[in-house]
Amino acid sequence: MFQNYELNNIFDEMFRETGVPRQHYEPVYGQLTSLNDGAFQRRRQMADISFRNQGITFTVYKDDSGVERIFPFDLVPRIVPAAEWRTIERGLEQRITALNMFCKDVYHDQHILREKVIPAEMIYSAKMFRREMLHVNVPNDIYIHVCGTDLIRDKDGSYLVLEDNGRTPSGVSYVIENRAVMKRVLPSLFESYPVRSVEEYPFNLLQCLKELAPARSEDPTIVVLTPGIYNSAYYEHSFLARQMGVELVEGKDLIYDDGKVYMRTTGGRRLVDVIYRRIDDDFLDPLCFRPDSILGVPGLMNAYRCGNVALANAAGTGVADDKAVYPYVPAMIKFYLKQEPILNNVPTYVCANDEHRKYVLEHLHELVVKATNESGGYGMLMGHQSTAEERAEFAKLIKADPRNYIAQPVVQFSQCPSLVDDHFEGRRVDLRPYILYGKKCVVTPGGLTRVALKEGSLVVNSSQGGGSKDTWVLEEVR
Amino acid sequence: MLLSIKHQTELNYSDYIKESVIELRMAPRQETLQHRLSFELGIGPASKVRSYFDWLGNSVHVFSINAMHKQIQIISTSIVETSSQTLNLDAMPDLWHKDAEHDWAHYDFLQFGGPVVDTTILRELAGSILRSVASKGPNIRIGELAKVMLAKISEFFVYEQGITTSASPITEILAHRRGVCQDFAHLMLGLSRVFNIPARYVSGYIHSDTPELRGSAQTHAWVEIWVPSAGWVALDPTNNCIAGENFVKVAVGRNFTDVPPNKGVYKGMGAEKIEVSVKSERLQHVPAELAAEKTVVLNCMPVFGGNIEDQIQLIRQQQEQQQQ
Repeated sequence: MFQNYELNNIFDEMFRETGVPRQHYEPVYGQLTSLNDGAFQRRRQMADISFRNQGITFTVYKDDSGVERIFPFDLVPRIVPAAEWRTIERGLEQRITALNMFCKDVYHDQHILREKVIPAEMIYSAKMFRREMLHVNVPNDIYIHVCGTDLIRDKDGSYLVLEDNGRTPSGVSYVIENRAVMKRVLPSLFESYPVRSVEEYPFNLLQCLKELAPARSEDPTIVVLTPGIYNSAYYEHSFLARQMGVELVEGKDLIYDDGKVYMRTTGGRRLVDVIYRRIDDDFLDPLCFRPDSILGVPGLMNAYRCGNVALANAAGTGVADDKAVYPYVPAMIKFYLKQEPILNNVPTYVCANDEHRKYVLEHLHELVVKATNESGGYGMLMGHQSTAEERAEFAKLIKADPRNYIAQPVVQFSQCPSLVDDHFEGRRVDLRPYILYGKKCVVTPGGLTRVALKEGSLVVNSSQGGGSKDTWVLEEVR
Repeated sequence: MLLSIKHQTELNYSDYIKESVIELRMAPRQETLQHRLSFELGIGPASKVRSYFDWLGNSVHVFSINAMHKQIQIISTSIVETSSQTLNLDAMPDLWHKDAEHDWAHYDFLQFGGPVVDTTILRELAGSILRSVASKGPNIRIGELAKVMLAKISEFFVYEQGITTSASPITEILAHRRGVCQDFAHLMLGLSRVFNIPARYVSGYIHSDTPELRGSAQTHAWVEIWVPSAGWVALDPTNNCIAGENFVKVAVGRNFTDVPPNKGVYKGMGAEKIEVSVKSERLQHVPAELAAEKTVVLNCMPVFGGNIEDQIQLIRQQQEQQQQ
């Protein structure tokens, strides 16, 4: 099944060189090659059925062919040795610490702007910079409690940060479900590996949320606020609420009264302490943000300001994961922590900068252009695979609104074997670990490895036809 | 000047509504030239009020009425002592530069946005203002430019109610050449944005003994422009004057949408009708027994359905009605 496997001249997760697996992949390689084709196909069908039966789906917008889909699952695990994970863990903790200090600073004293480490204009022109959060104190001074940071691997195998998702990162339910399915479908693979468990995530999230509760109750009421059943991540919202044993609510289930937020229940109103919200800032409170929001709770921001209810993540964290602010994260780390970044960024051109923009417009054919406030792989140009018309279109967009675009060189990131029909082929993968930041920082040992299932594709987003893999972080060997 | 301002708002609904949450920006600001001695807020139906300072330093009062209701009454009474800045636009030395660099604290007051729309007609108006100032000499002073902006606005635009609404962008006053204080203020902001002069919207009240100034007996709006040597200079494009001690400043913002005197959200099918009146009065001395801030309950049409039994009763009564 590996006969014609190509290394494609990039970093391969499994193979050191053609036919020679890396040490930590040897047992998996051995087992995969010993399975016959039929056996492997049966296991793949089992996995599909498992996902379908459990209703583990996501929604693709702007597509006529259907709404609810199974997130394609690839049976070859992605393995991260303990030493590599140590670096990732330290790097992510350093990064989220700096991002939280940045949020606190930018909504209070703004030292980083005064010192001109980041141009003030970049912040004030950020769509997600919420002036309503200026001078508002949030519990424990933490803004980003839940972060999903996307990592890719360079040609030499070193991990780079592609972006931070510090608003409402999704996908962690797949991490847990992928593991469950993997154990059911290919249990023997686990025999040779000390794989660290990911199942504690909901428990850790609950702990993190409890820390935010106003000091009035020993048993705080926590809710998960979902936009509703039509949202692409509704499955995850219900999954997390169930796993944590808390209520799943929509905006209409909550009501504001005298500086507090209550949940309507059949037994009457119940005071709410913490809201794990999975709706955007814009929709949280029609009185404060978008007046046409029907998903939010009128008055919520006032209760938040009064300290009577906590939000996770805090309102306004979008300023930290704006793609045009991202290039300044290494500078933030140096500014706030006086440390060198452990994980590097991908080099980025900010189109708002005249020199950068000039370069970008001249090199569109070899750059990836991204809109600063889009996610899910929408609003992107892959320069090297684009047509002249597409490039002309983007050049126009960039010139019309330079602040809204950044560009990055095409990183030839790593590949991992994926089952394609009856054999394995290399497909590009990224890695999204999930970080919980409370009194302590917990990086769940694992993460979502997303796979670009189309041959040669560099886009791993599920909305753009990506799949996922179970991700194994290995125990330290003592 | 010692002033008492009574700002009365009545919201009536064509049908029962519920879960009203309302924010008020009605309490005059505390500033060097304006001292708020007292602020009394009356609300009916009874409701608990919370207050906070928004990001622009305006004080905001929030309340909610969850039971079913058809009417909300709000009366805010402020007692304010004002004094005026001696300002002379002609005497300000500051020179105007099209490309002047500004402190980023003023970033927000230099951007178009909301009702302050960048349009060709606006640019043409700005061009004609600039030409008329430039004809007097090469060095243009900010004070001079401001004075001509005020003069041109009152020359070209007519004060008339009922042409625009509170949601009108400046394209409407530019098209009809008619509008109210809010439109005049937005227009002046638009011109200042074109000229790269930081400028902000001010909502408040204007007191006039006689003759009547435009904007009294209702809420008023004007602008403040940034002149480095003088700070924020308050100008009233509706009355073509510098805002003096008969102006009471309530809130500042990028434009009206930052500082509406009241804004709210409610649930229900009833349509809202709003009536507003403002009475200002000059006081001779500070009244005795003045509270810095207090809230009172106003008599109002009673709420309905404050408890579950009432709502069940409503449903039952609706179902009981014979439909023949």
